[in-house]
Amino acid sequence: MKIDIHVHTKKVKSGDAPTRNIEKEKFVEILRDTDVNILAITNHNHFDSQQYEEFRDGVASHCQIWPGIELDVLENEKRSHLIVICNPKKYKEFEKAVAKTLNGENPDSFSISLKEIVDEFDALDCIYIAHYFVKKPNLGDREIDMLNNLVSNPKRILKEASNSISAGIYISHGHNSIYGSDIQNWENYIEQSQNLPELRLPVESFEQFCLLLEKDEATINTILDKKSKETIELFPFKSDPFERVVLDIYSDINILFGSKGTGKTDILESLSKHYNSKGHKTAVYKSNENHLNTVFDIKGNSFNCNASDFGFDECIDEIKFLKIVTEEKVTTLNKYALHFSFQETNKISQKLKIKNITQEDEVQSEKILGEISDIRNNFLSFNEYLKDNPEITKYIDVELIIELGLILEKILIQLKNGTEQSFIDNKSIKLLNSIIFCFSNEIAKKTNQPPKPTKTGFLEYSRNRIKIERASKKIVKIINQPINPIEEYAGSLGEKGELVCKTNLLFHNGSISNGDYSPVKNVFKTPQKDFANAIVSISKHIHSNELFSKITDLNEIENIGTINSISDLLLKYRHFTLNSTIYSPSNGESSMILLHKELVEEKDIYLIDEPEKSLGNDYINDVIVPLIKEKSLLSKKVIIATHDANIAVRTLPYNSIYRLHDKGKHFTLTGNPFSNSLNCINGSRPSLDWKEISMKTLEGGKEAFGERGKIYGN
Amino acid sequence: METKKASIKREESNTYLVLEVGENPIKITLTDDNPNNVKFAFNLILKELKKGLYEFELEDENLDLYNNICIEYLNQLNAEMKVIYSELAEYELTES
Repeated sequence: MKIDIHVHTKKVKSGDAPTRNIEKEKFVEILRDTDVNILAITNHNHFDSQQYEEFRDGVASHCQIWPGIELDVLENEKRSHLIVICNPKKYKEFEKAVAKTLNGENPDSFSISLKEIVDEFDALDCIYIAHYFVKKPNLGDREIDMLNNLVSNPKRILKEASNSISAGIYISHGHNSIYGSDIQNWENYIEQSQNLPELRLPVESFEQFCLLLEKDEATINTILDKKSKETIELFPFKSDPFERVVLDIYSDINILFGSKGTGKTDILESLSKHYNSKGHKTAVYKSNENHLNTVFDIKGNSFNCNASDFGFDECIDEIKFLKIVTEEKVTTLNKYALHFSFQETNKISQKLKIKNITQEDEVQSEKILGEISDIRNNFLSFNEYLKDNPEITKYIDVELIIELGLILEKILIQLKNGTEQSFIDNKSIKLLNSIIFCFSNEIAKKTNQPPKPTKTGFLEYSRNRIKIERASKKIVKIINQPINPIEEYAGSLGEKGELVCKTNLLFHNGSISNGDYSPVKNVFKTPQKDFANAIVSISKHIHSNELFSKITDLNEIENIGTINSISDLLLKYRHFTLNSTIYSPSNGESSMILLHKELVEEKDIYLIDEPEKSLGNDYINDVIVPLIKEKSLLSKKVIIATHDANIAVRTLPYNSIYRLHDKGKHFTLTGNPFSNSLNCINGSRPSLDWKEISMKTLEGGKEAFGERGKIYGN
Repeated sequence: METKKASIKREESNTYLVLEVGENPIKITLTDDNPNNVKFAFNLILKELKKGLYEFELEDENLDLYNNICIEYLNQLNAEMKVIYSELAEYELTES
């Protein structure tokens, strides 16, 4: 929620840029793309109530428009600018007061005294914002003192700074300060609006804003209570088990601060136990407890993956086959010679021509039978599925299912006939071969003539080699393919870049010598390498008589039993990369990333102990504080024990819990930056000033307060 | 389909079936029980099959025992080569 208390919608004075003019439609469109929820129209010496109404109504659903004016002041012979913003409920009266004040004068030459302004506008429930110091033309301290004396409520006077840094400096010096866009060109407004002050508390009206200026505790508590909170009773201290601490924990940022040794960590641990007993899963995140290398298992000790995870076949059958394959027998021509050299004299034998028939190949017909049987079985299963699942009709029209059933029936008949035919063909071949074999053998027994060889052996011999070729080439092809590395986002190192944990993977193909890589599985690198080389060698000797000596080499590899799948050849190398370059994060960077990781993880409750440890201010401000704020916007419970003002102040916590050790006793005080007070939970001590305690207790307190100009003024 | 020449070489000590495959003809001894000799021949026949289907045709005028043997042997071998070629094609192992 952002606020802009200084906006021009018209070129009024001759020196105004024409780009300050904006039409309603464009105004509505631009505002829709910003986070601005409160905007005051403050043209130079001019108020247009009709434009005010149009703009107000155009953005009514997401932005309050407050009526205002930027007046040229002439006081003590010094020209300056003062913004007057009126209660929107009184804009009609405001219009009249402006008209009366301007009295038709040229805006370029118009000027007015402070007294005249207060006389005319003070009764209209206004806020005064004076250009101050570097915001020119500015009111001097003397003129501001005058204004303080003139107005009925000096808390309604704010000093306008030129940016957040100036506002922060003024605030740290005790001045109420704010700044606006003072827009020159509406084309730049969306970008410019990102630097506008942010309202941490959801201000719903002009009146509520005025009450916040007053630091009205009731108003602050009302707004704070809109966020849910839980009252928790704890006995967190081992040193004093009876010390009772009752805390309101908001679904927002809760900061636990105080000197070292005041028991902040004990409170966090106790809160964790409390939440866990309620069924949450919480743990206190402690900086420096772990290193990134351990968290990300950079050595990959517990890393595991399979080739199939990346779409590769595991080749289990192929590897097994190559280990056990033996050479097929062949028929020598000598066997034919033995048969044919015998003079066939037996008359019956001469008549039995069946022995001369050549045997047929059974494998092809078996393959066909297997294929058609598989197809038929799948269709049968599908048909069963259709019949057994009547709920299908809930999603598919009955007519379609009936139609499908008819087609399936036809397909099944065709497949049944085809299977029968293939079965007959296959059995016929087997029967024929069996008869030829039987007759040849029986004739041989009777006649003493050696049987005629039924095959040369080329078929089986070649099939075996083809199978070896296919298996070995399949493995060689896979092990030479790259695998996409696994990248896991580790976290941001701010301006340095994004840290990524990268796992490089490859298969050992026999030529990997990079020592950074180690096996993914419980295998040694040497058998991996020898195995890959042996397979490559086998694939190159398919048509050689040495093929089986290569297969013997494969089986003689030491620990060959450990390699049974392609996954057993996987190698890994894990490391971090920063902007695509290998990077080893330092201890400080490790802390950064781990904290970042903790905060980006989706949780309902974050318990964080001293997140600032080993971290630089820039990283805390630029990365961690925005992340914590984001959690608060999502109504997460963020409870942080810290000594760091960047976290304790710049996050503007709904709840500050201060642990105080005084005169041998411990006290717990709670409060917030909005009421600027810390009150003892037991009422046993007077209240303390939140700002003073924060500045005194927290590291970097004074600097951090400089940033609070980003809120509405404090 | 290509036809390759097969012939019988008769020598005093041994008789061979000579198959014209590749650059150098393959000799399979008919009178010796030597499986390695046959395997060597099969390797070359298989390698050649990858280039395309072919069959052997015996060119021999002598009607003796060796002629009978080789006719029978080549009949069987040609049938087996045909089956293997179709499998090579199915597994995309042919060179064409």
